[in-house]
Amino acid sequence: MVFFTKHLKIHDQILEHLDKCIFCHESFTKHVEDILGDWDEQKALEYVKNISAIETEADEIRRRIIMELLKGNLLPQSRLDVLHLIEKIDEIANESEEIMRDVYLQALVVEDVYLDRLSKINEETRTQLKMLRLVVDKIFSNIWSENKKLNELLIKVDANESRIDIIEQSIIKDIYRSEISLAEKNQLRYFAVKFADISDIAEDISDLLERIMISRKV
Amino acid sequence: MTYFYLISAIFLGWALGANDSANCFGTAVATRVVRYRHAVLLTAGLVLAGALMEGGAGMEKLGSYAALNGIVSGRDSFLVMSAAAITVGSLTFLKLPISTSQAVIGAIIGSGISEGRFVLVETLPFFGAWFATPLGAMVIGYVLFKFMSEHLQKRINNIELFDKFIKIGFILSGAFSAYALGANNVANITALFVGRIDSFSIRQAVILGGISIALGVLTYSKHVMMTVGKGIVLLNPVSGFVSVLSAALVVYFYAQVGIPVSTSQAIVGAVLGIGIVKGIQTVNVKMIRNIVLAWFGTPTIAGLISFLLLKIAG
Repeated sequence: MVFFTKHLKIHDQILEHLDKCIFCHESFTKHVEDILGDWDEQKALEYVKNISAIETEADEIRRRIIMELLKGNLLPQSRLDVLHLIEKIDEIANESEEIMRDVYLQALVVEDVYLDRLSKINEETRTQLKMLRLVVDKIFSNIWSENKKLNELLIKVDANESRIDIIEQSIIKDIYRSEISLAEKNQLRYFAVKFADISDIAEDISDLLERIMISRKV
Repeated sequence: MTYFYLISAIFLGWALGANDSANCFGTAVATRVVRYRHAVLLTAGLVLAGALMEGGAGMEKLGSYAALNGIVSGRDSFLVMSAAAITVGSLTFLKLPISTSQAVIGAIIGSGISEGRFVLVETLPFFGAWFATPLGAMVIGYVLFKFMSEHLQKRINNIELFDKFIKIGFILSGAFSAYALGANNVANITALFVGRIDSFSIRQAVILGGISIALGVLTYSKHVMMTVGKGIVLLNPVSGFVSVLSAALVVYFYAQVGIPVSTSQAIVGAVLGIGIVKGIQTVNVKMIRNIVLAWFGTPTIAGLISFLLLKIAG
């Protein structure tokens, strides 16, 4: 019994870390959508602190996983795979924290015409992260029996990223055709790219998971 | 004084331990699944155990074969074993492929020809074993890996459990391989001296042979272990321990028959078998060439040196 409890340690901790990072992203999207249309300095600062606290918690879980890896229970290749995976997953929280801070520091206000599309990017990214959670869960607990389903999910993650790219490009195109100043254009462009960056991270995680599956095929 | 003759056997045992222990844990150490320190301690202990428990069959068979070829005194044994040791030492120095078993048989043949007592019929089982070793390991490697690839994935779905299985697989197959190496190859080291120098018994021969191989493992195996481990084409961790296990099974089988064989050639055969399952090229032309060179080159060189040494010594 002890053996089975022990073998689930890494699996559970990776999911705990991923859940924390997904929660960080969800909180960030809620906060950012709340603040962008209706700027409130005090509220924005509270949101930055909140996201930063969640990111710190995610970091703590990541460090715990590294300590677990140092015990040497997994093969060296698996340790490396897990390390790359948690580092990549951690980027979701890091990026969410960074954008939230930039929104606050630059007192970003976005016109209604772009808000919907930025929300759409966030929504598509959330779907991506949910699919990734399913794949991560199965890869560490039931890798071969649901092999086909996992592959399909990873393809969907990539498809979402492509859709997000299209939305991002449409925003940038409209920004540079608008009447606002160049500084404002560049600022908006920066945020459109940053919002879409999280989906690029999700795509990178998907590639990593694909590699793990391929390298483990006997 | 006659015990001085054993110096050639001790050197050969040391060289065999330094070279062949890589076939037991080389892949496991190179891929950092097992620590080098643990690997050498396990190998040294199990080589000794294999020699003590099951090294007797090879001692009798090789000893009888040497007698048929006219090796009857301690001095003859010393010269023949010196020829084998010189061959192994110089080919290793020149980084050329080498098999201790084939060097010893070649040296015995050289002595037989020099004495005019070479027996071809009794030599054939040894030749046959050289060819059958990589072929047998190839077949076992093919069957074992096919079984693993079809059933293992369905049964072990959890990555952590899978890793534990691989780790245990590497340790058990390496341990078995070390045991088989001791049981099979100890005859190469001291069989020729049994009954030919003062009261040197089979028991003493397996102890001395086992200790000299273990000494080679403990003192000089690191470099070879890393080189061989990385040299063996690893398709994935499973293929690593399946190749070691397949080779060990063949080497162990020949320990029961009493014919010393090459563990390196068995490993190459096993890797080839795994490659057939995967449908890819796992062994390059150089590895095949090395086996063929060892088959023909090693016994020829050892035979020539042995022939010359016996002629010079009169």
